[in-house]
Amino acid sequence: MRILAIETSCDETSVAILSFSNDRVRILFHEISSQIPIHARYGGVVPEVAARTHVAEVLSLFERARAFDGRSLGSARDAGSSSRRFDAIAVTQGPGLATALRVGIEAARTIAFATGVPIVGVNHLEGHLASAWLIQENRRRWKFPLLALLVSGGHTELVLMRDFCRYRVLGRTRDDAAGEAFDKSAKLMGLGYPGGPIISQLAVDGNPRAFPFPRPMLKDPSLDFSFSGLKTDVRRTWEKVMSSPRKRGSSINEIPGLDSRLRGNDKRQLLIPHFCASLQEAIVETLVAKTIRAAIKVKPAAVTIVGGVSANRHLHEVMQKELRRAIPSVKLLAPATGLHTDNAAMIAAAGYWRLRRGEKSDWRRLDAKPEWDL
Amino acid sequence: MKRQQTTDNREQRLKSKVEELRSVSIVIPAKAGIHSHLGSPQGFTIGLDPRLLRLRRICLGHERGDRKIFTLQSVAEWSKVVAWLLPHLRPGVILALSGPLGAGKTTFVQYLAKTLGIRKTPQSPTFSLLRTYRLPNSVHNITRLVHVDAYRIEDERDLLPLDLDAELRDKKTLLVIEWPERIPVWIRSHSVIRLAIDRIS
Repeated sequence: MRILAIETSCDETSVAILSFSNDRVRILFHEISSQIPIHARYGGVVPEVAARTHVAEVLSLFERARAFDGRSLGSARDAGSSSRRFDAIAVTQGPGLATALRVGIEAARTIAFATGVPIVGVNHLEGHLASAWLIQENRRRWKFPLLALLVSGGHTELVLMRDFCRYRVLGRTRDDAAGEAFDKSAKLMGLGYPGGPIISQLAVDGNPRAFPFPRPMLKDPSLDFSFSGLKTDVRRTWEKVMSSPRKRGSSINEIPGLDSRLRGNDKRQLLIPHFCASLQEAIVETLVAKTIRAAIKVKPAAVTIVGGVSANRHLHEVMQKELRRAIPSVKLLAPATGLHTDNAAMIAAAGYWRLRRGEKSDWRRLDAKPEWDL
Repeated sequence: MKRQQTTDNREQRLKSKVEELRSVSIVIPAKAGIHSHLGSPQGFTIGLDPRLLRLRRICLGHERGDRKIFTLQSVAEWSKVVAWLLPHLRPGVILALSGPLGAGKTTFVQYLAKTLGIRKTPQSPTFSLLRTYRLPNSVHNITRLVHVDAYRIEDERDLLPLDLDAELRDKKTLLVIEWPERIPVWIRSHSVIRLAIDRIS
């Protein structure tokens, strides 16, 4: 089965064509065009900008997809041949920005109408869960129950998968997502957007123990997260260290080169790596601790971490290490590089899960579901 | 039984937040102002309607506004603020929440949602910009809470696709907006209840 997939829920516009047969998945065409350079100016996603560029990008990606097989995507069936270019369409239906989602949905509906192929609306979060499944080795190790940590700019959830398309949310953030903590802290320090990759890059040269940030909710018995208090603490600490001319607090003494005469930009430059490392450590430790706690509780057959924040190498390493220590038999499954953040290939995979169960949507009624839960 | 437990848990969660002394000032525009725009079938054209100019004066001047200041010593005291505010809430009311990062804007919305009987705990709408919650039972005819975060909106024109006026036109919606400073033109052209949070300590 060949699936054409479209994803436009937030930052990224992406189009893909994947082929699925018994045990094989092939990515025939996959392009992601990111709006991050545009959003970087704003420090975040702005829906009007998002919708306007999605329209242009979707069209240009379709042009490129057409070039890939030299035929129009408008005809699902080859002229003079019985083989089809694609047999179904998968499109992100939610959650996300309504205006952005509708660009992809309208494109998908139009193609469904023109070609008559079935269409399926996909939950963006299910797409993320399916992202790790695209790797063949992961598919071999894909055993249920499967525990997934989904971490991105808008989501932080621990999900138990009992089977394909059967989910139970074990815990989620009560306020801010982990990615939001990265983004807002980066903005506070005057770094760019998105904050995660920048902070993890700068953290390499920093001391993760320099600033004792809290590990929120670790004492709480639930599997929920909370990053709002951490954000407040980060802001307060940053304002304090940047404004106080003297070194204060034992933790800051550990930073070599920090002199009481150091001011302004020099001080900022010196502190940033340590600040980033400490912040990253706090977020990573919290995410890992809760995941391990969940794993001990539900005894999964496999664990996966997906979503934009899962691209953080440090998070992956610590998770791997702690998982090996706590439950050595369980394998950690991660998406391929480039498939952590939003993309259409994962939407095709989740669409395939749905389609092979016989599910499909009516193109006449398909509309955005901005608040869709898993 | 199980639901009772969930509610208790939530109470605990909300209380477990960092305790900090806060001052909350609430300004309610003169009664006449609150609903007068609901009669307008096309919603508002920003800054053109003379009626709006009058409303704007009320909002900015606060002369005839009803004012109330709370000093909160613990996070649990947010429920006092919500209880006081409740009689003022009606469909079409806009609550504008101001205060620095970490002041407790989202926490206030969580308490408000709880009081309105909403089962979900509102999460930060920063990333999604807008989140919607349904009330299981209508409260003062409100059946929907729309929670908006303008934190990431830097050019006010980018507010248009969220179409907040359309959200308000259904006559069932209570609108809560964080970071109203980012959308001054829109805010000035509407009658809003202002809630400003300052940290004292």
